[in-house]
Amino acid sequence: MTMTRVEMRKLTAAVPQEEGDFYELVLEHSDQLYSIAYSYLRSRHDALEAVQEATCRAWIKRNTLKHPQAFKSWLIRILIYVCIDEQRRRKRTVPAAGDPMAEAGACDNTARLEMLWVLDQVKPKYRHVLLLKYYHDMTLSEIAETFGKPEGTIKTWQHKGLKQLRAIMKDRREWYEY
Amino acid sequence: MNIEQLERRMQAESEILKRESGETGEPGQLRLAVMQGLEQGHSRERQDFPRRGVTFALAAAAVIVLLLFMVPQLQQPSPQTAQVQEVDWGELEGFKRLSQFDMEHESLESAVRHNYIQLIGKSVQSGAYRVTLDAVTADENMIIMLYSATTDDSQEVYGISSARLKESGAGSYLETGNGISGNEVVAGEENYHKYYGKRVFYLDRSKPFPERLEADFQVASVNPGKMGQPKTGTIMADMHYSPRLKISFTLNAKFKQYATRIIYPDERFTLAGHEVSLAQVELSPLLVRIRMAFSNEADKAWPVRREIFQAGMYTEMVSTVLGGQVELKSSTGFSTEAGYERLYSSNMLDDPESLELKIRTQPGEEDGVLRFELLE
Repeated sequence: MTMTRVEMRKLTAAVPQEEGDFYELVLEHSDQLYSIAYSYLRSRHDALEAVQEATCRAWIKRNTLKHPQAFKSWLIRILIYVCIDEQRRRKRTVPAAGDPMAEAGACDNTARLEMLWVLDQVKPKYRHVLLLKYYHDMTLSEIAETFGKPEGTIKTWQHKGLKQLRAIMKDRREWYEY
Repeated sequence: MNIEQLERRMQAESEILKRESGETGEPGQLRLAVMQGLEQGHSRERQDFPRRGVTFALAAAAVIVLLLFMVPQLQQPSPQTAQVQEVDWGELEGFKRLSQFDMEHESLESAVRHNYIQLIGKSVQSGAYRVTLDAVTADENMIIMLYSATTDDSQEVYGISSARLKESGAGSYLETGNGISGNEVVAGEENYHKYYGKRVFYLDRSKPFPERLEADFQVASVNPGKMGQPKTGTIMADMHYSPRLKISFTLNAKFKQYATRIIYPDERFTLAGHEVSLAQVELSPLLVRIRMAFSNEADKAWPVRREIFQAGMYTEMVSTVLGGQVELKSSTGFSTEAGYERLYSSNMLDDPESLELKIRTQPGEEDGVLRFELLE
C-alpha cells in the first residue's frame, strides 16, 4: 500500500508522536473508517463511536506500529477489532422494552442488502475479506497488509468465502422455493 | 448463482450501503469523533500508569483533545481569593488531604459542606486486597466517586490501576474524567497499606439519570519493602494486580433534583485577532461549564484553533460567597465542533453572590484581562 505524500511527511521517523499530526492522519482516513464501521455495525451512531474508540486505541498503541507506512492498514485493523467487540457486546445485551432493534431504515433494506445479511453467516475471517474487497474496494494486497497475512492466504479466504456464500444462497433459494 | 454474479451483487450493494450510511449527521461529527478518541486515549493512558512514590497522584486536568491543550495550563493565583470556612469531612476525613490538591476540590468541599454526599461504605475483599467504595456525589453532569484500598502485610499498595463505573441497566461504562489518588499519610509517613482515590465520571444529560451502578476496581501492588525503592513501578515483573473487585450500589435520587442552569451570555471578544463568543454557561452543584464558539468557520481549522486557545489559555473563575472569594479551578476541557469548552469545579450549592470569569490574554498583565460576570 503506497503512502500519500502527506503521510510520508508526517511519519518521517516512526509513528507520529505529535498529537496534531496523529489527529490529521487519522482524519485523512476517517471517511473510510466510518464507512467500514458502518458496514459492520449498520448504525451511524455506532459507527461514529467505533471510529472514536479506534482512534483512542490507536493512540494508546501508537508505539506498537512497526512500519510507519502501514499506518492506514494498521488503523483499519484496529477499527475492525472494535467493530467485532461491539458485535459481541450486542449479542450479550438484552434489549430493554421500547429499544429500537435497529436504526430506522436499516431493516427496511433487508431485501436490497441481502448479500450483506447473508455474509453474516460466512466464516468470520472470510467475511472480513469479502466485506473489505467488495464493499470497500480494497485490493487483496491492501487486505493482506491489514490483517498481516500473506496475499496468498487472503486469496484463499476470498475464494472459500465466495464458495460459502454461494452455498448459503443456494440453500436460501431452495428454502424459499419449498 | 455463480461466483461472478455474487461478486456483482455485492458490488451493487456497496453503492446502496454508501447511500444508506449517508452523511454522518451534523457536519464535523466525524472530526469530533476523532478528536474525542484522541482525548480518551490520553485519559486511558493516565489510568493505566499509576504514579509511584508520591503522596498523591495528580491526574493532569489539561488533557482536552491534545490538539489544543498541549501546553500545560497555568493559573495565575488571585490575590483576592480567601478561604471559606473550614469544613468537617467526618467519615471522609481521609479524603480531605487528597482533595486539597484536586481540581474538583471546591465541588467536593461544597458538597460535603451541604451534606450533598451519599455515604456508601461497601467493601469487597479478595486475597490480600480490600477495596471500599466510601462515598459518591453527583449531579446531572457528573458523578464523583471516593474509594479506598487496603492490603494485608503481604503487599504494599502501589496504586489503583483501574477505577470504572458501569451503569447496570445499560451495561455500559460511564465516561471517565480525571482523578487523584495517593497513599495515606500518618504523622508525615506514608502508609503503604492504605490508599485513597477519587475519580470523576461524566454524565450525558440527554440520557436518563443512572440509578443502579457498579463500580469496579483493580489494585496494583508490590511486595513489602518495594515501595521505598526508586525503580518500583518501572519493572513490570515486580507488579501484582488484584482481580477486578466490583461493588454495586443505587445512586440516591436526590442528586437529580438540581437541574442544570444554562445561561447564554453571547459575549463577543477577540483572541489572537479572531472573534470568539462566550456562548453558553452551565451551572450545576458539581460543575461549571463554559462554551466558547468561534465566529468564523475558517477559525475551526487546526492551526487557528490552537492559536485562539493559547491566546485565551489563562483563565480564572472566581466565586464570591459570604465567607469571601473562592477560585474555582479548571479541571479539564474539550474541543467542540463550534469551538471549545472548559469545565470548572463548582460551589453553586453555596449560592454565590457572583461568579466572574477572567481571561488573561497576556499572562500577568491586568490590561489584557477580559472579565465576564456570569450570574447577572
